[in-house]
Parts: sequence; structure tokens; C-alpha cells
Amino acid sequence: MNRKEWREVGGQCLYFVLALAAMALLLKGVDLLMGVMGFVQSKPLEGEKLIIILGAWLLMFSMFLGLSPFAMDSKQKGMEYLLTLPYSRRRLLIIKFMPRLAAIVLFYLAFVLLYGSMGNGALAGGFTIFSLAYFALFFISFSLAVVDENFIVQSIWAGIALCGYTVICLYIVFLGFSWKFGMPSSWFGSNLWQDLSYDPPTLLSAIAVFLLIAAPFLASFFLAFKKFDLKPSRAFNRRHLRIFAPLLLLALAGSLGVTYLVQKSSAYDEADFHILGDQRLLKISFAGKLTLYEETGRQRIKITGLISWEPLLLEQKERLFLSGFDSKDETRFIGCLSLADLSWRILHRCPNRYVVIPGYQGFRYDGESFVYLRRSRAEAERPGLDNDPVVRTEDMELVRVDPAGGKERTIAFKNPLFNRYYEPNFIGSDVLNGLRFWLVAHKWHHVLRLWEDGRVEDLGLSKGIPAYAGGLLFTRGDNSLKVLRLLASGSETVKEISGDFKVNVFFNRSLAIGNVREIYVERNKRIVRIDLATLAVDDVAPDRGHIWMTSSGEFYYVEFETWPGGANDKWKKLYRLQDSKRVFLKQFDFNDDGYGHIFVDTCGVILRQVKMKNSTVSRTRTRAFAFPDLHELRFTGLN
Amino acid sequence: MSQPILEVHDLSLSFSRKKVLDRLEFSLRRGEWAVIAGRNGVGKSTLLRCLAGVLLPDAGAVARSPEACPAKTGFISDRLSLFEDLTIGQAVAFHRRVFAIDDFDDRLLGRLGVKQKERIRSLSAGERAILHLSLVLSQKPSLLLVDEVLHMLDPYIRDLFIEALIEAMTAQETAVLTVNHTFSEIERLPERVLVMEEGRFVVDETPEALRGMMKKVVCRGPLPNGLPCFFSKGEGEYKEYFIYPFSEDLRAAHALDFQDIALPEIIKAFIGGGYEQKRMA
Repeated sequence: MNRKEWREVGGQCLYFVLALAAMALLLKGVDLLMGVMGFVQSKPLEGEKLIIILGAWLLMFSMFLGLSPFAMDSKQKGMEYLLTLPYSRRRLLIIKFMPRLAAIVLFYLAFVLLYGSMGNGALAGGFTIFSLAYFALFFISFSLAVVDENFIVQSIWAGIALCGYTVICLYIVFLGFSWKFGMPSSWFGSNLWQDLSYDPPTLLSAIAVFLLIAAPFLASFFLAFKKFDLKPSRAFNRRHLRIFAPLLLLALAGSLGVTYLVQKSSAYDEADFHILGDQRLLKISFAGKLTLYEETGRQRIKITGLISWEPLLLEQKERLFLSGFDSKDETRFIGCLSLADLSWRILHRCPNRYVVIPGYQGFRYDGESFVYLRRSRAEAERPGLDNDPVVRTEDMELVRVDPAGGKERTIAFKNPLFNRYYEPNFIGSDVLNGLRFWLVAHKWHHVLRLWEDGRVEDLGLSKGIPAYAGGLLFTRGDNSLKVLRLLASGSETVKEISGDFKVNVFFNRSLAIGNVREIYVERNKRIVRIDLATLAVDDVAPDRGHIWMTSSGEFYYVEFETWPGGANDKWKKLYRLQDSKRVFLKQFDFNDDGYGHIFVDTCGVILRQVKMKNSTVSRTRTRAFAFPDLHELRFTGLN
Repeated sequence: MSQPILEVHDLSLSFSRKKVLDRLEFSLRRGEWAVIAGRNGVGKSTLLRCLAGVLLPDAGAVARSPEACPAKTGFISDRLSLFEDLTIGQAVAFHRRVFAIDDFDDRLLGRLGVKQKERIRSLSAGERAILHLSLVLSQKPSLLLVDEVLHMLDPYIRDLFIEALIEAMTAQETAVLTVNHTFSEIERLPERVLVMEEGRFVVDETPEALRGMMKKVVCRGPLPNGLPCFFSKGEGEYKEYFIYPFSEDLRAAHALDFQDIALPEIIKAFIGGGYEQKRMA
């Protein structure tokens, strides 16, 4: 009997592989034919697209194999004969189950190998969900193998069960997120899943949930099958359901319990901290929370909407400008928080029909206005399953928003080079001959200058993100740093400095860094100073840490105890970089409070310590130190 | 008297709301041949399937002696269920592996002239019946359950089939339980006749006893009072009346010609009587 089953499963697997090969050949054939006939340019089937097709095929195969254990026997009119063989019902089911499970595992392993070699980003964080759904679909389908004699009816039931199963599992997983972050579960969507699928506690609890909820299907089927016979399926289905329902409730309770225990014990507060000019501390938690800390206490600032915050955009007098994404209407916005009365208003919303560059790179401050680049969402492409749309067209708009009243002005640009820039970064802004311009760059591409009057200038190639300071543009070449002076039209090369440079320090949200006279960058793994007047390069110290530049144009250096940093590090040191000197400011000791991360801001330094236990975050501790003397600020309720 | 090889207690089974087997009781001894008769839809095949394990009862129990374990029980259903995509050779090999059979007697198949490479789906009903019989007989069964298949067979194959059954009974003391509508070929073979009605046995007698319990009277006009008429038929001037239960006292009391009737006709009368009762209910 075993041999018969293995042979049958082998035949079904071969059938699927041949069908898949035939489909691939057909697709390729059609593609080639279209190319030959001149309709489309024949392109190779990308790895990621192939993986997605394979993945969909595998899900169908999983369902088919799950529903098929008795299909062949029924087709051959051998069900009566089968039930008279000298096997118990349970043994019969195991004989049916094992070869199919082996085939499912084998195909999955083959898919994993292919995924690793050609389609790594295809399913993004969804690979975990795909894997769980693949096995769950098999278990669920197997448990419905005798729900009806008709295969189509069986498939429909399997599809309905899988949908219900997925909804339940995802709901519990999202509940886990809400316990982890202390926010309502309605906040969380698939984007968050993609990020958190690499978080061990989330992954472990999600796997536990998916397996626990799938277990009742299989367990109840095995238990009910003891009474399986050839009476009309309704009788068996009723019995199956009577066993399934309590098992499902038990599994639900178990899943909720496991998720709660795991996620609560690894509760994590993903947040940005900013020391304000009045030495209060602003905490921006990504899932919608804004909290203001003072010595005497804290204040939660209530903002309506499902907001994912970005780091602080600008502090100006008694106002804080913040940007974020509102999941309610799926718009990005700039808002203003008054520090006097903690009132909040939206200054500007980017309509949903546009795509704004994602992340904190989107909205910037150029010294006069907030600026951002946007494109029409209708022209977006979506390679793979990445949720961020990619737009490659020749059109781009720059929007300026006045901080005072929110008045906006849009400048439309059109240039063939834009279709290579799907994530253009602002790297600087300035005024020349009374006309403002913005510098925009994309890794490995040309630097573009966008003029206020709508002109676009190509300033040449940069192999790596360039930098702009003191009227000079720093672009990267092969083992060199090129310094260009920007003219009213074009630029002139002032100097080319050899070396392996890293100039990735100019990423403040404000493009207006003041009148700097020197910059500090890394060359050949050492910190060097470049005088902006003479372009002299002075060696400062070995680079065993990070260089920071504040929005006021001051440079700091954080030295690690070991480089690039180890879990057992006990300290980090902060230096001021000025006039080619490295001036020691303070040593931050971690003690036993966990590894410390240093963030240098205009008004001070944030030390955030994270203690890990069994690869999960067990505790976080935040400390703030204010410039100029880096005395520690104490806040009630901060930790 | 030997111990029963099979005992059925209070067996009940329903399909949806329709009760098919209703607290059925009977037993079967080793080497005994019992035949089940009854009208269509009364539950004969369902009972056999229940005894074979194809259907599971809703209530009651089927107790088997150890020698009648599933490996030693053969079942030939009226659907002649086998894996049709297999060839004869593959089916034999499969059956031998599953039932751990050392040798397989293919004499029956040989007499039909079928080839080992022929697929089962291409066999005729008779050839399939012989194949199925060969398979179950190779198990050397202690209990053989045979649903109504004889009517599908041509006279030659039918004789082969019956001969094989007799040989098994003789050699292995196989208990045989068959469902039959036709009795002409097997009239002298079964030791018990069970007539099924409304999910239970209403008659369980030897053929000899049955012949003594039912007589036929042909009358012109109505039957005299006092005679237990079980079933009557005939539309013309003369009618046939089947008297059941008959006793010799009735012969003395009534000046009528009480005729002996053959088993097939007795069975037919029981079936006809069952339909009449169903119509009147």
C-alpha cells in the first residue's frame, strides 16, 4: 500500500513539474514571438518575477496534493476495496499523509534554494508568510480531502478555510504587535509585517500562531477519520466539525497566550529622541505617539489619525515642525506643534495621487521653506511586492511650503535623466544671483541642479552620494573626491583629491547648514579635515566610529571602544572636531545597562542603551546630555 | 455446534433520516452458507458493507472471532470495487503484498483466458467478478461476503464462481454470506435463508423448513376464511394464494390443494408480500 501511494504522489509531482515547465516554455515562446514580430522588446524573465510565479504555482500544488489522497481511489472506483484492506482507518490516513508531506517538504526546499539564488527580494518580508501559508494550505486541504466527492467543491472549501485561517492568524500576529508597541492593532498593516518579519520574537510567535491554528484542522481530521465510511459526506463532516470546533478554540487560546507572552516580554519602543532648545525632550514613537518630557513630568500629545512619525523636521522658535504618514487617508504631511500651548495643526498635506520620496529623505528644509519632490502615482511601477512604488518618468515636481502659513508653490521639471532617479535625494540648496537652486542626486548617477525658474542642469557623475557645503560640491569618483565650484551656469573643477572617501555625514533634514569653513570626512579609514577656503586636507585621527554633523554645521566624532562595535563594549567617547583637532568631550559608560547607541543633535547627545536577552530586547534605557557641557538632563518617567 | 464466527447485535444504520438497518440480530457459524433475500432497497447490500467494514454502524456491534479478522474476511461487492487503473498482474501483486499472501491460485483466471497486462477497467463484469473472487480466495478467508453478482455472470462463469465457493467451503470451512435474487442455481446449496424486511430479518430458516412453512393454493374466487394468506397474485379467474405460516392442521381443515413450492418461488412470495405491506403502510 505504501509503494502504491509513493508512486501515485510521484506521478502527481511529475505532472506538476511538467505542467510548470510547459507553462514556462509557452510564456517564453510567446515572449520571443512577440519580440520577433516587433511588438515588444524581448526581455529575459527576471528572477524575481519567476519566483513569484513559482510561488503561486507551489501554493496550488500544495492545495492539490492536500485534496488528492482519495481522489485517485475514488476515480478508479476503488474506495470500497480500499476500506476492506486490513488497515485501521488511522493507519490508512498515515499511509496517505506521509508521501504527500514528503513531497511538500521536498518542493519547498527546492524553492528555498531557487529563492536564495535568483529572487531574494521578490517576496520581501512575505517569504515567511508564504512559507507558513504553503504548509498551512497543505494541512487544511488534507483535512478537507473527504468533505465532498467533487474536487471543485473541495477546492472551494479549502480556499474558504485558508482565507479564514489567514485572517485569524494575521489578526493574532497584529494583536501581538499592539502588545509589543502598546498601540491598537488597527494601526498595523503589511508594511509593518515586512519590517518585523526579521524580528526574532515576532517571527517565532508568528510561526507558533500559524502552526497552532493549523493543528486543529489536521488533528480533528485524524480523530474523525476513525469513523470514516462511504455514507454521504454530510454525516462525516458533522462529526468532523464537532471535533474541530473545540480544538480550534483551544488553539486560539494557546496562540493568544503564546503571542502575549512572547511579545510582551520583548516589548519594544521604537522611538526618536530630540533635545529641544529649552532642554525639554521630545520623544517621537513611530506608532503615533508624541511625548514631551520635562524635569517634573511628561505630557502625551494627542494627535488624531493613524500616524507614522518621521524624525523631527525643524525646531524654530517656539514651534516644532514634524512630518509623517497618515494611514487613515494615506497621505504624507507636515505639521506644526506649538510648544507654548501644545496645539497641533497640519501645515501641508501631499495628496495621495502623488508619490513622495519615502523616509526622512522626503521632506527637507532649505533655509526658507520646506521642500520635497513628488511624482504622479499613476505612473508608478511596482517591481516584486515592494510596497513603495517606483516611478521612472521624465516629470518631477518640487513643492515648497512656507513654514509660516503653509502656502505652497510648485515648480514642474522635465528632463530625460529623471527616469533613472526613482529615489532622488536632496543634498543641498543655495541661492546664486538671487535665484535658488536645489541639488539632487542618486547613487551612481549624475548630480542635478534644479533651478527655481524650472531649469535642470547636469553637474556630472558621482559614484556615491555627493555632498554640498560652502558653495562647493563634493562628488566621488574612482578612488577620489572631486571638488567643484558651482557657477551661474555649470561648474568648474577646483580640485581632485585622491583617496577612498566616505562623505555620508550630510543627512540632516535641514539643507541649510550655515556658513561652514571646514568639513570632516573619512578617507582611507581615517578622519580628515578639508578646509573649504584652501581645500587643504589635514589628517585628524583614525576613524573608529561615526562622524556627526549638526544642522548648525558643527562636527562631532563618536569613538567606539571596539570597531565596528561589539556587544561587550563598555563605552563610547564623544569628541568635537574643530580646526583639525579632536577635542575630547565626554566618555559614556554603558555599565550593565546594555549596548549604547549615541545620537548627536544640535542641542545635545542622546544615549540609548538596549539590553538583549536570548536575541530579544529585554530593556531599553535613554539618557540625554545637553550642550555645551553635556550635563545629564533628568526627566521623570523617561525610563 | 461450532462457535459463531460472526455475531451481530442490535445493528442499526441510517442514511440521513432513513433507517436502513434496525436493531438487526443474527449470527453465522464456521462453514455455514447463508443467503440473504429481500426486495430492493431493504438493506441487504448495506448489511454486507457494514459487515465488511465499508460502512460503520450507528449503533450495535459486529463481533468476529479471531479467525474472521479483516485479513481473513473477503468481500465482493455488487460494484466489484478494485483499482481500475491497475493491470491484472499489478492488482494481484498489490493484493498479495497487502494481505501477505504467499501463493496465488490463478486457475480461475486462466480458464477465462485473460492476460496479466490487461487493465481492470477493460474487463467485463464477469471477468472482473472472477478476478475479484480469485483475489479474495487467495486470502484463504474464514468469512466470505458476496453481494449480488451472480446475475451479471454468464452461465459458464456463474458455474465457475459457484464451484470456487464450494471448494473454499469444503477446504477451509469458509462461512459464506451471500445476497441473492435468483436461486435457481444455488437452491440446494445454502443452509439458511434470511429474508430481510424493514431493516431486520423476518425469516431465518433452513430451506427445508421454509418449504414446509409455505404452501400455495390456486383458487377460483376468494380464499376461504381462516387461512393465513401472506401473498396473492393473479388477475384472471384463478388466483394463487401463498399460505404462510402453513401447518398440517390447515390441510385437514380445508379441502384445498396445498401445493409444495420451490425455494425461488417462496422467496418471490416473501418479496412480493413485502411490497404489498409497503403499499398498505
